[in-house]
Amino acid sequence: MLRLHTSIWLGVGMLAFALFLIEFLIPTWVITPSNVRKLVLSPDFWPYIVAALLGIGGTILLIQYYFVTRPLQIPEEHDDVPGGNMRIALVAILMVVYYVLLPYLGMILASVLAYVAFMVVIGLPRKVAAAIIAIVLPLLLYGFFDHVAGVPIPQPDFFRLP
Amino acid sequence: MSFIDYAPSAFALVAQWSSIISLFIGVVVGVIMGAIPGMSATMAVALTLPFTFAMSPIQGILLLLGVYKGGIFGGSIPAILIKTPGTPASSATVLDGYPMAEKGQAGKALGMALYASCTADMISNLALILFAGWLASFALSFGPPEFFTLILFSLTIIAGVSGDNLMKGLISAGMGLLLATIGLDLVYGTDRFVFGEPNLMGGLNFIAVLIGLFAIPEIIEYARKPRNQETKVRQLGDRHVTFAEYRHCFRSILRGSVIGVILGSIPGIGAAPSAFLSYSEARRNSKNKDNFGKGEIEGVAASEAGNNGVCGATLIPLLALGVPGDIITAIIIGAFMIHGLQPGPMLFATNGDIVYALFMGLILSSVFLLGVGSVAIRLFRFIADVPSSLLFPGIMVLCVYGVYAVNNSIFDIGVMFAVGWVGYIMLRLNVPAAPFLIAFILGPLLEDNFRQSMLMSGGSGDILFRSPITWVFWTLTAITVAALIRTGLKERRNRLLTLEEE
Repeated sequence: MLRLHTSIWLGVGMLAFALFLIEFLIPTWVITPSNVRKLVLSPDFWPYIVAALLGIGGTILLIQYYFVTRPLQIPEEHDDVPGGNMRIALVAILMVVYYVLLPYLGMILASVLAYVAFMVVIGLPRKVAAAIIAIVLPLLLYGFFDHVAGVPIPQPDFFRLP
Repeated sequence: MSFIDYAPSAFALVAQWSSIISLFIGVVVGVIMGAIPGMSATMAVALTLPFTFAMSPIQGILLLLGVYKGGIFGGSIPAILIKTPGTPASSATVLDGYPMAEKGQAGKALGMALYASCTADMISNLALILFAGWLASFALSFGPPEFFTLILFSLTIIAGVSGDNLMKGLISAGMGLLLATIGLDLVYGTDRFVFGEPNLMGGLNFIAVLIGLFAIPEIIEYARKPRNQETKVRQLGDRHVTFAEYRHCFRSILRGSVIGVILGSIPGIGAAPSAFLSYSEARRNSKNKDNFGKGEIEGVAASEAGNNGVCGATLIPLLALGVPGDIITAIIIGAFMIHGLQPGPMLFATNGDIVYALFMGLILSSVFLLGVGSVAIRLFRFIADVPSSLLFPGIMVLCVYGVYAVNNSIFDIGVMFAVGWVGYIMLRLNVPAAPFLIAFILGPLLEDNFRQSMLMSGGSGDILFRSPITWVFWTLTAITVAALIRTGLKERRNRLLTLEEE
């Protein structure tokens, strides 16, 4: 399979993102009042400058690749791990589910489940220790933040700790 | 008001049991977390930050400073015993520390690392006390144009030296600046990238961005590549460092400390280059230069003095100018902000007692480091045995609780995860994270000072060149960019020559 150099990914990505910012995101999502008299004081001036910076950075990265990295045959290490991409995808799903479940299950239960799920993703080593920590750690953190720091940790109606 | 005027109230702040215990706990936590392979001093400080919310400013900041100091030393323990630097700053320590451990002199190497670290730390703290107040009083005359050029210079140097590619650093800083624009406009109060979400009106939460950037990518990377910890921990041996050996290395320790102070006070350089420079200078000046790299105790002393000499000095630009010198001080600036303190020249005038109390606490931290470090060296076997498979999911849970605690906001947890994935992509593409975070912190200051300058001048750019100070910073920025480009071209030429020879 053809593998593109990271400089190409990053350069093209940044260039495309800069164009997207300039053409769509900034005009649509940065509100500029009609009474702005000087361009440099406008709320969208700074975002445009940053977008230009990103675009220039991406362009130079591509130029660097074609005129420096490629002619000099600078090698790029590829650190492939069997099953690595699958585990990354599972962690992404885990984080989304963790976030979505927080308001419904509360932080303690959701954290217990997230800990266990993470252990499952990495192959469930040290099952007993993991099970103990999965329960004890969220409870300890609840104790500190709720009772010592005075932060009300979210809890569902069906499972409330004192 | 001077140090003498503030000394009584500062001493009263730091002499409380709660402050002393906070500092002590900080050093203990820092040494342990720094010593765990896979953790870093940066992650240690970031994860400790949420625990400081319930504390007073002095306790909270002393706790973080303790973690910082302990973390930097802690990194040298695995560097010597298992050839795995706990922090990048300890990479130079491996060069002679591990060969010493192989010869059965690990106890000697670790002892010298501890004494060199404490000596350098003390010298760095004294430099901070001497220079920060002076620099702050000088900076009182700065107006918005001067601050704009200073921050621009700091960002240039941070973006340039943080990674192996200036452009990647620049892109990273650009992303940080972009994220900093989210929220209400500073002058007109209109929406910028709010997308109709009320939670975004106040901008992104600093702690969520910080933890997302430095902890979440490590967790994801661990999931991709679960590492089995099968490390061979070397025995300490029965030989310990003697006073004669310490005296023999003292010149290198002193030189390394001064190098650390100088490099640490320049934003962006950091501890690792300082350690390597100190090491190479020690080798150049040593009578035993042939023994360097084979287990020379002076090499361990020099590298540890170089990396710990940075610790106090990085606080000079932070406290005096409000510009963080490295990632860890960027996190500490967040602690100041959480407690309603704005680092910079005015801090010395408005909260001088807190600043001088911190100075006193830093001196005390060197003493704590000596005691805690001696114990940690003996207990490292247990620290190294903490399995990463149990640690990383625990860190994820800790991050969720910590970020939620800032504003009691579940939305912030979503921000943390989202930034974490951005950070992970950056990690895989070798884009440095430091410029991102520092630009995110300095972005509003940069823009605010720029727009204030424009308001003062009626939109004319001439004001950005109004004083000798602005010219100095413009010149320094130009020199930095030129030096970085020159280094890149030199590397290209060398590479071409190597290719031709092949």
